[in-house]
This record gives sequence, C-alpha cells and structure tokens, in this order.
Amino acid sequence: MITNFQKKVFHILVVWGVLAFMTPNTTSFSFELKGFGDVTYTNSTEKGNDKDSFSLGMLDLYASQLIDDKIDVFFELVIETDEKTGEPVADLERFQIGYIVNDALKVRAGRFHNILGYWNTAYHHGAQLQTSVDRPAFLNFEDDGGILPAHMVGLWFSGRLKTAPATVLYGVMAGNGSRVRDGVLDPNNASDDDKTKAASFRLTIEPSAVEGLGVSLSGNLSTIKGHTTTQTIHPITQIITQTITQSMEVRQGVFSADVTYFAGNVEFIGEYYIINDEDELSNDYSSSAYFAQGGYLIGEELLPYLRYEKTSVDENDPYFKELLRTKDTETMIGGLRYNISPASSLKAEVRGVDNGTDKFEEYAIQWAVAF
Amino acid sequence: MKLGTIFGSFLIVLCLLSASHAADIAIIAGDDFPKGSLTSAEVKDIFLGNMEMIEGTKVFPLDQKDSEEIKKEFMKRIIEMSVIWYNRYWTKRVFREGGTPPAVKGTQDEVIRGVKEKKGTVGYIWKDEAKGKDGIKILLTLSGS
Repeated sequence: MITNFQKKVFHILVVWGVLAFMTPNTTSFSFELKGFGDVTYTNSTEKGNDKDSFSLGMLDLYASQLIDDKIDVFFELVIETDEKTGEPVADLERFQIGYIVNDALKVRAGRFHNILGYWNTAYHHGAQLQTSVDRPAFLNFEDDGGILPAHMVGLWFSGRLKTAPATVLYGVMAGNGSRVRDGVLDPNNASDDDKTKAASFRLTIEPSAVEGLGVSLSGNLSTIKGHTTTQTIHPITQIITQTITQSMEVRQGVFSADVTYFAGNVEFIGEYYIINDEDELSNDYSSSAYFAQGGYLIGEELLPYLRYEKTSVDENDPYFKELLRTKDTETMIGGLRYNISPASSLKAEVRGVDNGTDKFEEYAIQWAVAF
Repeated sequence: MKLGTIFGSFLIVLCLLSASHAADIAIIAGDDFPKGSLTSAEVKDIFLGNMEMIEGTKVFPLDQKDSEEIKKEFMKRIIEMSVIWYNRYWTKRVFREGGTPPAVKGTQDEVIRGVKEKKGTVGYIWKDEAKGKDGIKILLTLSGS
C-alpha cells in the first residue's frame, strides 16, 4: 500500500532525477544545477508554544542558462515540508525568461521575487547567503505568516546606468496583485483574482565615493481583497458546502527605504517600511516595520552579528485583521556565524522576542550549505 | 666565496620568482570585437556581469581555473577581490538576478580559441602567450610592475 506521503516523495525524486540528468555541463543546452539547504535546531520558551525541535529548511534548487545571445532562462524549485501535514511539497519558486536589450534595459516575464526592499531579493531562500539564521519576521514568506508581498507573477523591467558620481540601478515590476485567503497572503500565482494589477519599483544609488554603499527606495502598489471560506453541513444529508465570501478590500501602498554597506569586514543592512491601507469607506490606516542588522567579520571565519526588528501595526486596519496580525512585535537578536568553508556555515543565535502577548527567548543553531 | 655563490643563486631565484608574478596580463578578444581597447574599469564591469553589451554586441567573459596563478593575479589587479569572494559574488548575483557567471577554460590556448570562436568573448592570458597569435587583439595590458 503506497501512502500519500510516499507518492509525494516519489514525485519529488522524479523531479530531482530529471534535474540531475540535466546537470552535467557537457552540452550547450545543459543546466548547471545549484542549490541551498539547511538544518536548524530551535528551542523556544514561548508560552503555549515552547518547543525544542530540529527542522529541515527548504531545499532550494536553481539554474540559470543563456539559451541565446540575448535570452536567458532562470528557474528555482523549492522542496519544503508542509507544517500542517509534515509532507514534502515541491514549489516552483521562480521561473523567468529574460531578454537583454542593453545594460540599461532587461525585460523579464515570469514569477519573481518582489523587488521590494533589499533582503527579499538578495537572500530569499538562500540561508547560506544570509548572515543570520532567519529573515526578519515581518519579511516572512506569504505562506509563513508574511505581511508583505514577497513574490510577483508578471513582467519585470530593470537596468543599470553607470555615471561618474554613482551607479544607478532601477527595477519596475507589474503583475498579479496579492489577495488574502483564509488569513494567508497569496501572491496569485495561477491567475489574478481581479482586474487590478500590482506594481513594484526599486531605485538604488551606489555612490562611487563610498565603495560598498547602496541606498535604495522601493514600493509596491496594489489592491488586495480578502476571502473567507465557510463550511456548512446540511443537517439531514450531511453534505458539506463551502462558501467563499469577500471579507475586505484595501488599496495598499508599501514604501520602503534601505541602506546597505558591505566593505572590508563590515556589513550593515537597514530597511524601513511604511504600509498604508485605504479601505472601501476611504478610511486610512498606517503601519510600519523596520530592522537594522550589523556584523563584523573576524578573519575569514567568525562573524558576530546583531539585529533589532520591530513591527508596529494599526490594529484597526482590515488588512492586518484579515491576516490575524494585530499585535506589535519586537525582536532583538545576537548571533555568531562560523564559516566552515566558502560554501558552508554554522550559525548560533539567541533571540529575545516580544510578540505583543508574550515575551520569550529563542535559541537556534543552523548548519547551512550552498552546493 | 661559497657563501657568496649561495647568496647570488638565491637572489637569482628570487628575481625569477618575482618576475613570474610580475608578468604582464593581456585582456584579449577576437579581432571582430567591436572595440579596439577597454579600460580596466570596463574589464572589471564585464567580469562582474555589470557590462553585458558593447555597441550592440553581447559580451561573454571567459575565466580561468581558480588554481591558476593568472587568475589570482587577474583578481588582484582588476577585480580587487580574492578568488573566494569573487565566486561568492557570482553565487549571490546569479541567485538574485539570474544570468550566468563567466565560462571557465582550462588553458591559455583554450582561452585564445574561445575568444576567436565567439564574437564578443573577452578573456585574459599572460601577454607573452599572445605574441604571434592570429585572429586576436589585445584590448588592455595589465602591467605586472
């Protein structure tokens, strides 16, 4: 008897096998498959959720290939464990087809990481790339309690302009807007739930005078609807009927400013977000979130780091009510990263968390690899 | 006298060693490359993936193996990163934006063949290796002094 779990594992192994078959870089059409993976141990003292567990991070597989002088293809496949069922789930994280017009304009179509902020595009699922164990909580992925759109399906225009005083990088995205479905943000991968489209932009200045410094502004504009599923059971036939009702609609503007500095042994990332929502009655709500993280590399191996993050939410905002996130949160993190090799690291972290209802500590150890 | 001979030999060996480290590097391309010369900033941009097109032609940087002395010298003189940081840079870049890192060739001859075969390909070799080779042009010389 083959269980559903075994079937899913089999499907994932088939996908893995196909990708692995494509990997040998011996023909002009082969892909070089690369990836990230991590194993994390977490101990939490949160009331009602105190646990002590090992968890597999996401197994992230990606490949990029120039298929023509001006056309490239990139895909990223993530295999993760469904927290509710404990079963592995394969997720096509990104797929993009790009056309290079020139250095100032590249056009892509597909599914991308939203260009909102720095962290979301720089690290995303690559735990080995990021200094810390986890991303800031308010930047979590949509299906992991996230409050900001981390993905977009549509078109992406980007480019780089080099001038004497600074290099300017820009990006503009347009695509399906998100929705909130049963309390979870959903980037509408398959198709949009309405006719309105979302747009994101990002502008980065890298001044020539300060090597390693980047200053950016970014934003995301969209209309977001909330949908709630209710189940009713017929008293006689016992037939279950599902009804989906629209529970809210907001016009949302997310605006972000970030500063990054990577030079010598010093690294710093600071991001600040304002989330403005306007409901159907034209009531305005404003919330904010920010983090600052700094680290100092000692030699090539040891990197102590600190991060402070805070989310301040307007508890009357229908968007946050729909996401069941109406409490302000605050987290302080101290950690030490040890680079075992350029492709592997061990991280140990202590977190002090105030989630609005409880103050508690978390301890985490992670072994991350790139391959 | 014997000590003097040893010291002299030591000096000669030292000079030879330092000469090999100080050899000139030639940035080369096929003779159909759209430009006759490049600045060191442009070469850096090409190998960092920041300059993908030159006068309408797609540019393809051609790298050498991490273990090669010329790669370490090229990184030092042009890219201003160690080989480890350069590889890390490309991992981050490809994951962030897509695109492809420079293809890697095993020998100087393979680099010369590579730039001749595909228009827009830019590679680097010891300048002495470029002497008398047809079908290529030197876009920039990186002095070893």
